[in-house]
Amino acid sequence: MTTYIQERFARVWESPSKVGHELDDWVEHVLGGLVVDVLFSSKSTNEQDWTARLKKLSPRESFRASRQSLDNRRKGAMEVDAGAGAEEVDLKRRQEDLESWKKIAIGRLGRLRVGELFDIVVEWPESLGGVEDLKSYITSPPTRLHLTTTFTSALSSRLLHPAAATSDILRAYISLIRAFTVLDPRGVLLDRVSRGIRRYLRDRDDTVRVIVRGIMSESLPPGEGDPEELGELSKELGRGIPALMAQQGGGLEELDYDDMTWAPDPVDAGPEFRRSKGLDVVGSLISLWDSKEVWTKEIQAVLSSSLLGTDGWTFEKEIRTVELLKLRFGETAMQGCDVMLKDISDSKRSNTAIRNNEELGPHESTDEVDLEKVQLHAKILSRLFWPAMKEDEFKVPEEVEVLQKRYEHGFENLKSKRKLTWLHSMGIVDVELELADRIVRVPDAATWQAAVIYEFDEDKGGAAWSIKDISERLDMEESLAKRAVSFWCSKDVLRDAGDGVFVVVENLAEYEEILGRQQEADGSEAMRSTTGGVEDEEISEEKKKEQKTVEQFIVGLLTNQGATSAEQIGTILGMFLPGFNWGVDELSDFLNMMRTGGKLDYENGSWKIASA
Amino acid sequence: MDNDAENSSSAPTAPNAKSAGPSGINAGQSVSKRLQQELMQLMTNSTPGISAFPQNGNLLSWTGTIHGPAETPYDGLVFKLSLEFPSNYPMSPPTVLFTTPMFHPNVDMAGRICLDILKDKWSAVYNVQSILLSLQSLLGEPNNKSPLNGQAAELWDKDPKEYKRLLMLRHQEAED
Repeated sequence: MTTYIQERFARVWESPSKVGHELDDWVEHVLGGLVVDVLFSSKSTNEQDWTARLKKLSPRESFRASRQSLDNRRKGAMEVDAGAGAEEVDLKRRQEDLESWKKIAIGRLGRLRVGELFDIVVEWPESLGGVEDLKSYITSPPTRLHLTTTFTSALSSRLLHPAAATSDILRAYISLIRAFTVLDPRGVLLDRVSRGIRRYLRDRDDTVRVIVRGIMSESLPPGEGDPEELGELSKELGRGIPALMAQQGGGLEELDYDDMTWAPDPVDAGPEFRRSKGLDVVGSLISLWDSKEVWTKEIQAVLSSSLLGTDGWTFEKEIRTVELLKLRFGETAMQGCDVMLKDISDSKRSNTAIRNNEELGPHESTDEVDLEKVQLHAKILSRLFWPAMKEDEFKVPEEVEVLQKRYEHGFENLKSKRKLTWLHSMGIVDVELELADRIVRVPDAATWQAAVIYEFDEDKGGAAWSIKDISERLDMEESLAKRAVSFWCSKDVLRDAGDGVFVVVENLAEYEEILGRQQEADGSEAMRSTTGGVEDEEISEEKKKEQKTVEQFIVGLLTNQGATSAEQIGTILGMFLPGFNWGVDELSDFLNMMRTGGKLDYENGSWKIASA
Repeated sequence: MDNDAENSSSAPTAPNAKSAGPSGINAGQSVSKRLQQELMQLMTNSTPGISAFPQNGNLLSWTGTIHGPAETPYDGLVFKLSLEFPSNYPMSPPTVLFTTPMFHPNVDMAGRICLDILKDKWSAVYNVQSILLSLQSLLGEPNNKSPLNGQAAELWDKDPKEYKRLLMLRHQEAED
């Protein structure tokens, strides 16, 4: 029987599920016959019995017969002779047998489905039928327990390990919420199986980022809306909070005495179980962390990048998303985002005003700057309410600086006692390059990219610079300059003329000729390795910052506590330094590095501050 | 949400609460949060000459280190302190003691310190850093009007040489 079920139903999850009926039929007809065959070939030797029982081969007939005999009995038909009585008992037993066979069959099917549950969840919603099958299985506490334990272990072995991407885990969690809501609308099972996954998600650094990006994916600039990101979350958010959640008044669950459908929590519910928690996908994701700060911070970061990431002025989608998020987090938590949105709409107005007052329009003429050549618009942000911006310092081209000065002047006239600080690295430049044979237009270049290409302008005398020259001329970090140059190389505007010197590609046909001379594979490989190197540098920069903090903590610890073993240092840092997740090896490597630097001493298995 | 909120908040603080002893259990979130912040601040903007760190992983009990200020008898010496934070910190000041034997007009033989901001002038805006800085400046400018150590107060002005001799007699390098 097990074999049959496995072959017949494994991975067949069509909806609505007909599996139950099929199984019933099969048990009645095929299995019934089979069992009878087996039973009689082994047991029955009496020929009379043979014929008598063969008559009852069809279970339907036997069913009808037993019905009749039951009716007879109710009428008190005592005149039924002894033989008939015996037959009746036999029929009844067969009927009971059949029922228990069916139960066993459902049990087997249930087991199969439990084993498959992980795939069922992942394939959701194509696997609705599979979940429906399970519904008939999980009717008793042991089966429910079996389901949760099996599923939890499948989860931890198949999903909750470092190799799985956070977005995959989240997507699985979302389908899990949906699937279990169908399976068990009261949410007890969901509550039990989701604990592990929730705990795991809390430990991942990037969970918040992935969720927030998913929620706000609607308002991200197109092109960044990676299919990998959980775009469906934004739709889910749009649906708003289910009425049930709203009724509960933000979590304070009080008994509603008028609720006639009230029933006690199921017996296998955990002590802290709360009903209806899982019905709302976004809500349960948000409840992963109890502090709203985590969320608002990330939301502000995403919002700021989408507000500053374009040169447009209308952000209806963002406003809508923020309003929806307010329903979740409350007005006060989202205040910062409100200010950000207001800043942008305000600066739309002040931008126009300042540009008018200071005569910065494209048709005004002035001696210092050719305004037809360079145009400046600005977004004015309230520093306190925006997340910290990454600052890559560099010198902006002279013309832009003059414009900035005048813009500043205009702003200070408009709003007295306030000052403008320019964030050079945040802007976007619409670059148009006139080359000998073509015009290259990049409508959304970063400011630093634009500044670098501006250095190659022929008016400035030089068309060939090395990365070092550029970083010196612009006061720019070398890694940033390198990135800018490789950006322009990828646009075929610059090329490597050898010895790390880059020149402008004035003529595309010429350039292709040069390229043709080189091996093509070489070229592309070189390009790839450049970008890879840049990323490495970026990571190490972050790492450097982390290492500095860790070093300060280690010095603080050892200064005050005296000699300490590496193991203890690790434990203590884990306690007091938020986000510290180094392994033993990384820590001891780092300690050794500090010793080489003359900062620490190692003695008798413990570390201490080097005596001066 | 409730149950998860509890899980997430109790998990990281559990080790602190356990090791903090009876007072630590009731210390609550705000104290550990505040001390955690102070620690972060102290570590990242370190001031030369002063330093402090929680002792044995207990957030309510810190060890501090002060280097004696230059041009005072304490120049070149290192002093250890213990700071015990009450469970209602920063509403009440921490109890601060010198654990290194000390010879100073405002410090008694048991290391107890007479400093107004650690007593009646305490305010919640003070923090570990300001306490340590105050103590460091106290070393150079003792308040000789209300001495705990009369001999030291007398010698401070009269006989700096004898003062230094007695100080060095009493001073011991902190054991690591």
